[in-house]
Amino acid sequence: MSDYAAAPAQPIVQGLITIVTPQTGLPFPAFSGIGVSSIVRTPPGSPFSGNAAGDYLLMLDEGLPGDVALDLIFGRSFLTVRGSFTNVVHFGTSIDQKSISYVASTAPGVFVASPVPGIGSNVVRVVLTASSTGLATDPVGSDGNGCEIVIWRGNAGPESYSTNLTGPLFAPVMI
Amino acid sequence: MPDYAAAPIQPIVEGVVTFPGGPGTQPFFDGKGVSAITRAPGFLFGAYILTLDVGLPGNAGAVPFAPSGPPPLFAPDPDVRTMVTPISTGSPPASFVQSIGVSYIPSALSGVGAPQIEIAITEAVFTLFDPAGGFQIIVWRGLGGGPVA
Repeated sequence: MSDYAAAPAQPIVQGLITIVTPQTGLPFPAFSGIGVSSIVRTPPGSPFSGNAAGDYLLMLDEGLPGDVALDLIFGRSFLTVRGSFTNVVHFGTSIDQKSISYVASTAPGVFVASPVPGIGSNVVRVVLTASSTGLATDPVGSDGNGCEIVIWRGNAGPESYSTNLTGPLFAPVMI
Repeated sequence: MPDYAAAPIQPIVEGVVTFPGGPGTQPFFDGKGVSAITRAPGFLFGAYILTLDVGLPGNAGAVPFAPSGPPPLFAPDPDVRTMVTPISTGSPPASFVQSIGVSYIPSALSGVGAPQIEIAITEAVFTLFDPAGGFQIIVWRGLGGGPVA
């Protein structure tokens, strides 16, 4: 078999974010998958401006990867919002803006905006927004039916070097 | 090489959907893992149903339901991940896509899972439309894991 793995990327997180609506109490986010040890709504206050909905902090499992969490520049990810049968658009979603950022937790319940040297980004912040309202929005009800997430670690090869590609001939420049 | 594959995912579908006759015409899938593509019944634009190859994976559909209980209609199956990326056209390149919704259509047969995927793509003001350049799609099956809250 030919080896086309010229751009190795290792999956370190994969799962589904859903909103659980208990019979009593407020709806809360849940994660089903691998690589995340807990998920909470982003708390209000510095350095974060938490929202009541659509704004989550996902704590990565310890030791992902190599016990130093995620080096910021190596994070690769995607977010896909599942459509809703009750959306005004057939199987559509109102959530049209999705973002991910890499932050850190230095202690339980403590979050800082930037990766910590030696620790890396052990927390991922996900924000889902509906531009029609300008508000962060949970993917639940008519707005969606959960949000899928995958995070890879890029440059997961034997050599941890970076290559800048410069045009027009895309000649590699080693840095 | 370090093994960081703590979250194994199995690619089961990869391909490109285009509209050789232009938007509003028959969609065409070029890739692997899909045996048929049709428009969702009653919709002329922007809503597609992709039927997975038989036996993807394990001859039980792509996205098996939770092991206990009857499969609810359009249940949010926890084990599937789909990435849809529009292909731009024009200069400067643009896709004009505003939102993308992905849903999994369960089989009527118990234990089969969801052998079909429905994709809804909208442009401005949330109107279903066909992106002129088409779109790429990759579907993975997530392996293992469980609920966390």
